[in-house]
Amino acid sequence: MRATPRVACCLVGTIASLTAARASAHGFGQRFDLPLPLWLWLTGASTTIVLTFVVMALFVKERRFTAQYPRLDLLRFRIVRWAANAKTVATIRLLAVLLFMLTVCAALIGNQNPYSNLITTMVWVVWWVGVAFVCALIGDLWTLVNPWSTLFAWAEAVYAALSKGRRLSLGVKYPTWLGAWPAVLVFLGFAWAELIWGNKDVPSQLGATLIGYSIFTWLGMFVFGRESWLVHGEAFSISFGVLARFAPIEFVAPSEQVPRGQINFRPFGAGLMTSRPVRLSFMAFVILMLATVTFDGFQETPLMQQVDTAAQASHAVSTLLFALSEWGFDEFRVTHTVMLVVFAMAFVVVFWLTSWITLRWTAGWLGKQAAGTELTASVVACSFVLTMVPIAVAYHLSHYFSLLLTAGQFVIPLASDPFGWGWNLFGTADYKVNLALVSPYVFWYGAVTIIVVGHVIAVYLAHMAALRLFGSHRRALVSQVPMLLLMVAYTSLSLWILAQPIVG
Amino acid sequence: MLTTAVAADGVRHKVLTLSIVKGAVAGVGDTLRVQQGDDVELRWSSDKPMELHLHGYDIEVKVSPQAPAVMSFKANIPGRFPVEPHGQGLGHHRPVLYLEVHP
Repeated sequence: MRATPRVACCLVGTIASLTAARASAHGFGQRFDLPLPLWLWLTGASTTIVLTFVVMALFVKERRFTAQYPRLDLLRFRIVRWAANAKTVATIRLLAVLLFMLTVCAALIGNQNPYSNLITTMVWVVWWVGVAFVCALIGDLWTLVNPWSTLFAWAEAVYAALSKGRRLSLGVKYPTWLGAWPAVLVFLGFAWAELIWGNKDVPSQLGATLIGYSIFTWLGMFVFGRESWLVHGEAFSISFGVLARFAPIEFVAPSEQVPRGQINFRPFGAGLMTSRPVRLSFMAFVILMLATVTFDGFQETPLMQQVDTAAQASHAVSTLLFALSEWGFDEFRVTHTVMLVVFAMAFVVVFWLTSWITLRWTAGWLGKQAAGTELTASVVACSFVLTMVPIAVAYHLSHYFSLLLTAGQFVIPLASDPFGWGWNLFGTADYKVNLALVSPYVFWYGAVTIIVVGHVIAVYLAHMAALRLFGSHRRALVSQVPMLLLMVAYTSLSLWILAQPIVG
Repeated sequence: MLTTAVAADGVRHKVLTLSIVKGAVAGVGDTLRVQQGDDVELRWSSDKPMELHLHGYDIEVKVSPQAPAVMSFKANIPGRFPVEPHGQGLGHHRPVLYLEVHP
């Protein structure tokens, strides 16, 4: 590891600076948030419960389900038409590809200190947290900038030009039964890397993983076609796409009905209403997203630490862990990997059970016909799963809000010195991260407000989903009770995690 | 042991004596709460030589049985900051103390 003199002098007690911190054993971009005070947590949780009833009361009137929502085509404004032309899109894509290449180069040839190399901040802060924020709060940025898609599209264009219009793909028909399962597996692997992998902040290791995933993605595109792989196998297009369904701006690709395409402005969360149940693999993907987002915070609670301690204290478990450690598996990471899988399974089981209870409960109150004979628990699960997303989005925003604003500042020195070689291209290399940027009050009240608003949107969406599934208003209200209880529980869990001191 | 003194200018000086025995801080809980703006002095001693790193404030000291060490700073960043032992070999090491600076 090369320590530049600049880094060395920072080590001497520079206050409000993270730049000099050495590679610590745990994650990149530490959070230093104070836990929510108890009273605020309780206020948030009780507001959640009260508002659930208020929202339901507001809906106590007859209405029919419609997947239509108010929208405004922004392309009617000249300035938007002027900005959203093909040249702008091509320029943004080119810049994104250049940034992607710069990041990979930095990983391979740059300084291996995680704080001095562009890739760690780029991957874990700018991309995974920053792009997610833009996707959830504005619109699907990832579809625009996805460098894997752009690079493959360029290769397609070149190949078509050279081969007189042939397609750069084996054109294998994607098997229907496979659904989005490849993306589910990729996402599970990614979640493990993000939350547990010990080398996630080692630039060369992160770079190698990035290259490996690039090859995997291009192979998938080559075999099944680019468009097909983006919706079935490219886990990040799917996960950012799920977040972007929450966003107020919707991009509609040009088609026969809308030859020009559309850029619509719509209410938050409107994109999470579906006119038919989602596919089972997609449902599993969304549940996995919900579980990993929550596990991220749960991992740092004292409760998880107690689980670790209990695992060490149990004779059988510690013997097993010791045996595994002989094979090179770190005991801490084994425990956390098991917990991640348990968490994901628990989310699937609880959600599926709630769907099953919804059916039985509705049939019990209104008779079998009311619940519909063709309805199964998995249809219910696949109809309701997206309505849970606003709660996860809200938790994700509150959890990462301060990290994005503090660790995000690393891009300022890194812009001047992306490889960590002591450059100072723009004169910003000596910028010190200001940790006091976000007051705890802003974090506390902001987090609780966002979570309560997310919950209200979720309750609204669940009512729309129930209307579609069960037809009449009365049935919808009755059928919703189990899902509402689950939503209150999930929101309270999110608040509870934020009220826990960060440990470990 | 914690002593608090209030200076004429109203700034509180918190002096805390901490001794690490077998990798854990003896005698106090795992969290030290101070108010934003306090002057804080952490006086460390340890039964084994180690480096202690206060994250966020980014202060590092070397402490050993022969040579105690002092972390002295103004608590002007609110938040919850771990003090981690470094240089005890690889693996996950738990913080010996959390410093909570409340607004």
